[in-house]
Amino acid sequence: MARRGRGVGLTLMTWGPIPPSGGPHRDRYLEANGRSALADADEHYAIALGMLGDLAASIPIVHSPLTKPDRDARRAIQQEKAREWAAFNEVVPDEIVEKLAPHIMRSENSAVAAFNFLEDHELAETAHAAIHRAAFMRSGFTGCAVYIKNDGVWTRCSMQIHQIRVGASVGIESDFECSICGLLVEDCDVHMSGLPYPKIAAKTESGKCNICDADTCAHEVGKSYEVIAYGNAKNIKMGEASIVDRPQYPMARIHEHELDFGNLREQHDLVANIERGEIQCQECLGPCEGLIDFRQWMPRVSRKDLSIGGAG
Amino acid sequence: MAARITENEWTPLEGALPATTSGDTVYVIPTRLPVRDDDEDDKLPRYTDQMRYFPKEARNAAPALPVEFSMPSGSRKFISEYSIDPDMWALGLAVLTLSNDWLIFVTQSFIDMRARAQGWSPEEAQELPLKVSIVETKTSRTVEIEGKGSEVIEALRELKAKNSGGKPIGKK
Ligand SMILES: [Zn+2]
Ligand SMILES: [Zn+2]
Repeated sequence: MARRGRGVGLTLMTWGPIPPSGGPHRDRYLEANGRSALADADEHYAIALGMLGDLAASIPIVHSPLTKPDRDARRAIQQEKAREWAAFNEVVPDEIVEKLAPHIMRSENSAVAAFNFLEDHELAETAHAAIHRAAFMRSGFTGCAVYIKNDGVWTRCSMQIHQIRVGASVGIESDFECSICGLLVEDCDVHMSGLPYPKIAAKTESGKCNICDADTCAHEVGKSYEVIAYGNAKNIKMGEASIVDRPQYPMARIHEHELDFGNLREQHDLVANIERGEIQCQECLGPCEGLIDFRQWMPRVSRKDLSIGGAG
Repeated sequence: MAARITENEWTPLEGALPATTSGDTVYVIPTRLPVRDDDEDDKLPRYTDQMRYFPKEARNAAPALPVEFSMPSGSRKFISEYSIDPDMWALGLAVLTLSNDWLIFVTQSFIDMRARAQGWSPEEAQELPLKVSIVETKTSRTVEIEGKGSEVIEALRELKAKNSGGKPIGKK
């Protein structure tokens, strides 16, 4: 029986306003979000490092990127770094590791976000390096356990996932109702999205305030309030997701992927080890091997292997 | 560079045209198929999300502008696709005759809307790629014009001049 392809988990959308679709507005949006994520990554990395005090001077250092892919060289570096971390962990008290772990995780997540926002910016390499720096420290202190899902072995390791520079896009059909008058936005010529208008407070059919959508609030029924007009999405229908190289939602990316461990049904010991958290991803201890773009990656997965996640 | 013009090669999607075409009205027609093809009772073409605010914004800029959707309220559906914007924005229009006075104005409004939506200056927006597909409902002739915004506007000017004289559409 042919083994199915490797699975991938995708985030489709994230909460908040729809990012600008293009042009100078989008450039500004990406830069502002990217810079603040990068600052957050730096800040929490510094906090984690600071908690180590004098020990910070002897912390293992991430290997510089390889100039060309070299599996053996990378393995050797990973093993060497694993030994360095084992020795370093001998001298670092557990309480300190426990305290710094959330900061290093935060730094890693923010670095991933920064790279997603800044991948076409001059700060792209800085953000990219921030992922390696944080993933290396996180893995050194707390490891990078893989897990079992759908009869396969999976990882969320940012080191493995960020290399795949693809995103998700989904076609959505929906109506938008004017938040002021309730007409479809395209039929309402009066209220322009983003501008304020007076609206008379009332209770909706479900008993909520039509100004703020709360059950109880300070808005008085019958009184007029200034409200910003916007479109309320209704009757939403999702189409199929597709893989794109630049998603409109910069964070609509792969969030987990499946590793090739062969058929798990014949490997009971392996499964037991994974369930005990003993099988670790080591990629994050090694050097960067470069990025994989849309065209290189697409032929490696088949559509049925894409598992679609909700808002991230 | 001049715009690329093709005649009678493109055909509007089934159900995209207005039930009746009146006088000088410019109808915005849908150019996309539904996101799902599994609903046999729902095959009507869709508008792209950019079009949702277009007739409204165009009328807001010029209150008497006769521009409206070809499909009536209630049957209109819009698709948003959340990959980043295609560089080329596309506009589908239906008019009774190609000599319609408002074609140029409506197309310029579309370019202006893009400038506002994405933060381009008016001059920059004229340089962005644009495709306008037009059906002349009286004859079922179609024209597609592709190029920079400014080139498309220029091509529309020539098209109007040729068609106002009652002659057939000239060669490019
Ligand atoms: Zn309204
Ligand atoms: Zn890892």
